[in-house]
Amino acid sequence: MEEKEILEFINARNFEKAFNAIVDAYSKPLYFQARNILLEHEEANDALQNSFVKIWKNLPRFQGDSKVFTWTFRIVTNQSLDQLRKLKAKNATPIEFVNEALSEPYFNGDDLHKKLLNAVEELPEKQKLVFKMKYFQNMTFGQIAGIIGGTEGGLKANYHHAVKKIKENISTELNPLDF
Amino acid sequence: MKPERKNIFETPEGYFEDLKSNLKKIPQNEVALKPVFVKKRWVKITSVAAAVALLLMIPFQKTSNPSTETFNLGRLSDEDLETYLELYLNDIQLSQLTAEAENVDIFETMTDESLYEYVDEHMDEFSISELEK
Repeated sequence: MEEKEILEFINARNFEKAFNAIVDAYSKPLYFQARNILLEHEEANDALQNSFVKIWKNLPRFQGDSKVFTWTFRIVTNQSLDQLRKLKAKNATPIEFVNEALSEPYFNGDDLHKKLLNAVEELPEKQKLVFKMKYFQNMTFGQIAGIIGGTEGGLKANYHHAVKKIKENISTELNPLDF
Repeated sequence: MKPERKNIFETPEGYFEDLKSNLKKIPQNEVALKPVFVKKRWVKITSVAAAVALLLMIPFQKTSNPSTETFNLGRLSDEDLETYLELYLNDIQLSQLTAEAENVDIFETMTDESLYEYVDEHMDEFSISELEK
């Protein structure tokens, strides 16, 4: 199901069909957006469920100012960031947060990935978000700009600074990473 | 050495299938918000704005009217003036009408010749004591 079909359902005021089409088309990428921010599966699952309730409730108010894809990603990103703030209040340091999140069984990375995620967690919030969306989600800077705002140039600068800091952070133990 | 760009996050088996069927139950359990009609809202906003603009113009109308009437007073015919005075006389104090005349020293503006004529005509009205002043 593509964006065009979803919009046709919305314009025909068939919101239930539109919602089901969104679930079919975007639930997987939206889950990984939440997971990249929250790291833990259960937290990502909660964020996704809450986000889809918001998507359903607000679907009749969708004005088509942005793509449905962008609109749903914005909702999931905001929901995940809200949850992350609450989670971080429970953890003293970013390393503690990452180690606790990655101790669950649904993490398939190695030590190098853990080091990478630790270095990412040390970044300022915006650089962290841009890096995760670009590196892990393979999004274009245009898509990222639509979801979190800002210009493509500004986001490229954020990504560049993020990569530089990550390299500096982990190059003491490893060869520079190729991003 | 660089990290492999694989998906490092796994999910429980069958998670996405269960997720989709669970999410599709949301419309049965949650009430969607009412749609917002942008056009109707604009009509409402413009109506309120027009009403406010009219209300704001009322004080200007009130303050501008008297000055316009005063400015045009000299161009009015006698009949118009009479009608105006009949209508608004109650608002004008007699003292206001005579104030200007009382303050004017008519002798200052008179030529010597007209002054002599005036004195001749009104000689009887002056007492000697007044002439001595």
